[in-house]
Amino acid sequence: MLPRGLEQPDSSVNRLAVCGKYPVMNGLEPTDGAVFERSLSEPQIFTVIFERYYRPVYGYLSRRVGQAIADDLAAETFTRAFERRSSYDRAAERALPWLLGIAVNLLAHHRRSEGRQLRALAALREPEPGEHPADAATRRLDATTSRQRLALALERLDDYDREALLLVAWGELTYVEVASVLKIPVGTVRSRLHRARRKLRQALEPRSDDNVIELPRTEARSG
Amino acid sequence: MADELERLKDLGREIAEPSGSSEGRARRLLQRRIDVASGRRARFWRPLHVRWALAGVVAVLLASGFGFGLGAWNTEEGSAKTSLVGLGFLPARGWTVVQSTAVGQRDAASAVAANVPLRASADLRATARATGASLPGKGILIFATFAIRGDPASDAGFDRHDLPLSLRHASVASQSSDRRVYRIRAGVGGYNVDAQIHFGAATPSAETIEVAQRQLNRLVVASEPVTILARPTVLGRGQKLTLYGSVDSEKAEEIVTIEAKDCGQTSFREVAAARTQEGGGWSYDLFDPNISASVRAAWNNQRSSPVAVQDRPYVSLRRLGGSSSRFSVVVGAKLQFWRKYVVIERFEQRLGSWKPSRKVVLTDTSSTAGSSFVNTFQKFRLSVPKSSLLRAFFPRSQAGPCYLAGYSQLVRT
Repeated sequence: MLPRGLEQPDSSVNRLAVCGKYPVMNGLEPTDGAVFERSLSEPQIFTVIFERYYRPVYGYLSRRVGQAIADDLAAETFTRAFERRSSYDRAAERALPWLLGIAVNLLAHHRRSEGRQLRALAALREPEPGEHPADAATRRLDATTSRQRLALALERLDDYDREALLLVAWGELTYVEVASVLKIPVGTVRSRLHRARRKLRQALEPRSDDNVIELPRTEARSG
Repeated sequence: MADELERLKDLGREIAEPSGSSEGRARRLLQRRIDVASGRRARFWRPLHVRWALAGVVAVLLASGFGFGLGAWNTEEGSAKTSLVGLGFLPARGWTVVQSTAVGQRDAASAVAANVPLRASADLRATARATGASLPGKGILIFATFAIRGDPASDAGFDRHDLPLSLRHASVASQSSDRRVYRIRAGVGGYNVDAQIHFGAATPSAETIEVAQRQLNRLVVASEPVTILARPTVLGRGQKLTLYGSVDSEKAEEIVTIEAKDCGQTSFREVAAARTQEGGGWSYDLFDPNISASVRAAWNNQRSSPVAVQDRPYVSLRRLGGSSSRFSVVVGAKLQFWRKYVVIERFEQRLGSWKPSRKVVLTDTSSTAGSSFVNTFQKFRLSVPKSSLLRAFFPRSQAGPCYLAGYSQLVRT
């Protein structure tokens, strides 16, 4: 039986079945807003939001700060989202921007980790199976040139510009959604993106010193 | 040139998807919060199939313990076995026998057998010492320790012997006007057995010696195909483990695989391998799980009992830029400790003890590229008198189940 508040015109193709602990949607799925509204009286229904958005939220966080920290931050994002579910704008098309907004706030404590993650992205590449280490090193030099520039340029971007750019590129949000996450006008989002993309484009342009590999900065273990 | 946004998306795609464990953990945390909000009690009780499994395990344990007891009482006097899994003495009429905890958790298991009442003491060794010191004329006490073979330096003093051990192989360890102590050191199976036989007379009679031999015949040494011992079992700052053990084929060049299960994990994974030496002993140095873990050895499709190794997080306290009031504290481990706190302690010369100065909540994290180590840290200010001695203490309550408490090095302001 579909819980009250989640009904659709054709109830035969829109049922919410409970399989084990977690509700599973069949047919037409209720909107995020309807799930949030219903979760106020039936908290268990909030697991639908988790099932829908855990992977995108975790993916975004792990790209920003690495998997070890993303494990905790993603879990924290959803528990905070659950506690603040009454403040969710139920007219919003989807909950992902709102969840990423919480994630972005949590990320503020992990700026240093993000820098290291970007440098790690620039520096690391797994060797092909069976590949000799020397060959791997040569291939790495070829492959990393542009990726390295990209990661380093990303690291050098202004925090606000990078936030907007990554919400579009890795969070897969629209400009309007980014504006709602960062609580800024859409026009500001556009100008930040324009600036950020221009800097990335410049970083990726071929240079005369392409044979020179700028080694990523490595940092000794703190302490 | 491809669009820079596409290149950026490609860069993001190189990073792996969430693992099942991270998603499962997040789901459990959320479920707990939902349960609280729903006013439901947390689920302390397990599902039915888990309850049945637990009941089965308890039944097997009880049955095996009971069976061992029956076997012990029905064994003919004078016989000794290595096929039973256990270390110690089978009891006989008029004798009291006590065995210590399982081997592997500590350096060596031990057992006592005496034909007089034992004197209670702090541990088995002290009990043996106290009882042995007050033996009557016909009193006999045998105290045996069982250490896992595999450490070449230790094994050198233990020649191979089969059970039963004989007093003919014993040497006099000590003698006084009213007592004599013999000692037998023998490599039996995967263990080095060190047995001390105390007599309450300087020259025990032939009859007393025969009684002692009969109890010595009832010495049981577990027959385990592969054994493992970890030393130390609690890892401190910068310490690494040495693992060693033996295989019962007693051959060289056998491959022993070391498997570890990190705290929080559900299954063992291979982490290293070692080759046996002549006699079947093996050892592996410098193993560092970086987290509390269970470690076991596998050989020939058989596995040893696991040994528990406990780890402390790396805690570091430093002055920032030579300042006497600005510091940074770092807690490094395989897990991160975001929002956990560290207690900064100052040494009180007057009282001769450490006193807490303040709590510092760790709010920043970093990780080194290619490493599973995460540093959680915080910078803070602290005004203390000049030349104060400080240290950071990371309490067990903050470290969680996978680490012990940790201390930093000392810092002089």
